[in-house]
Amino acid sequence: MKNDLVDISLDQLRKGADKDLKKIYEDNRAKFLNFARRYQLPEDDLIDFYQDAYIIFYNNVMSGKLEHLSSSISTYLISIGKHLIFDRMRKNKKSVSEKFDLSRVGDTDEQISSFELEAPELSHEQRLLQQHFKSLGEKCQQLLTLFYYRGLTIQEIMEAENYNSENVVKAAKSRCMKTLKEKIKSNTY
Amino acid sequence: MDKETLLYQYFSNQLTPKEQEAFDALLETDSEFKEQFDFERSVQEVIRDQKSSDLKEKLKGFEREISSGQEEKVVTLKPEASFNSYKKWMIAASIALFMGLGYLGFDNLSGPNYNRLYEENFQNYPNTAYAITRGETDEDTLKREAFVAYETDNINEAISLFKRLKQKEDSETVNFYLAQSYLQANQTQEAITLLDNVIKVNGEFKPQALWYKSLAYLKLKEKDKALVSLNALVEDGRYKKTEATGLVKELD
Repeated sequence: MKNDLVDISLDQLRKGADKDLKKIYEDNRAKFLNFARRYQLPEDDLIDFYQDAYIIFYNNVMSGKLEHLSSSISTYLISIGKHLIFDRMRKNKKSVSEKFDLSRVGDTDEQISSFELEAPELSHEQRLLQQHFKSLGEKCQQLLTLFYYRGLTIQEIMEAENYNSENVVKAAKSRCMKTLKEKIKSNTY
Repeated sequence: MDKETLLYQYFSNQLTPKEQEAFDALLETDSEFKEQFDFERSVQEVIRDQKSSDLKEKLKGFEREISSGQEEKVVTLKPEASFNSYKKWMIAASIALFMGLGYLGFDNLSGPNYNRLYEENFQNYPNTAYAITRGETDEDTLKREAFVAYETDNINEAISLFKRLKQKEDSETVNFYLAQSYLQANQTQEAITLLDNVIKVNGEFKPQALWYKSLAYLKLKEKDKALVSLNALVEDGRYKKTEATGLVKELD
């Protein structure tokens, strides 16, 4: 019974309706902040950590890295949060003490070991690519998002978006990628 | 399997281990393949970045709503509300206490208010030594249980687990966290003995140990000993230097 309830939230999260996103945000906020306060960081930073952990959790749900919950959402958020906080401490040792060696802190909690936890800053070229991507038609953006962000197969995309056949999806996808490459070459937006 | 299919399998999370091998080999040897992969990987990054910043904006919006909602209807937001009223009571209670103490001239007669200094400064040290749910090996089990108890404020259990762990692994970390647990359980003298061990090792926890040793002596109202270790901490300079300097001034 309990599992049914958590699974519904994952599904809701995937559909991405604002009211569900908000509910999950509100439901887990107090617990997360309560956990994070022990690290004696400024309160505003804690909110930031919560939001970043939420985003990482969301991205891993959307990309299919996390298909089923094996514990509650708050557990995932806290594990990710801990990773982010430790990571920050390691980079900016002042948070705990200037010379405190955090190298032994490293390892991540088990339930998030398959997650993509790093979100590297985009390079200059990637920023440009992002502009070009946003200038694509809506259909192309949607198709590429389903493939590269959601990790859906061609067949799943065909079903989700009512394409007539897999070949149509494949052809549309390579056309979109070709347009993107051309935009980069000519550097027009 | 052709290169295009390999890339397709990769991005739809369907590479078999064998295909993964072929994939990795191509990345090493085939520069055209690598270029195509890097491009598609960049597209993926770019979309994820886009999605992330869209979501971040939404979350900031939720947060604004939460904080503006709090002002209007404090009563309905339970956790925050109960915390606030708890805080109000605490403030009221401590004002009452201070007034009472002031009336008795207590503060002036007995020198520094050690308990207050202790309460103001003591905060238990977070577990930065051990990530709780990694690995399931037997040798880790005891350690994990000990840190779980510590993180969840199950202090008596933490003490007994850390004690057992100490018999197997008499390390700086174990001594430090056992000392932390003793401090929380008001077993101050036991804590000091362990902290002395940690200080003797002269390792990474030394300044933290000095700080907690100072606080422990404050609690025992042993001003001179507190000052000795506070001064050592200021000299060390790695941890809580400002706080230690402040305390030295207040005590002198």
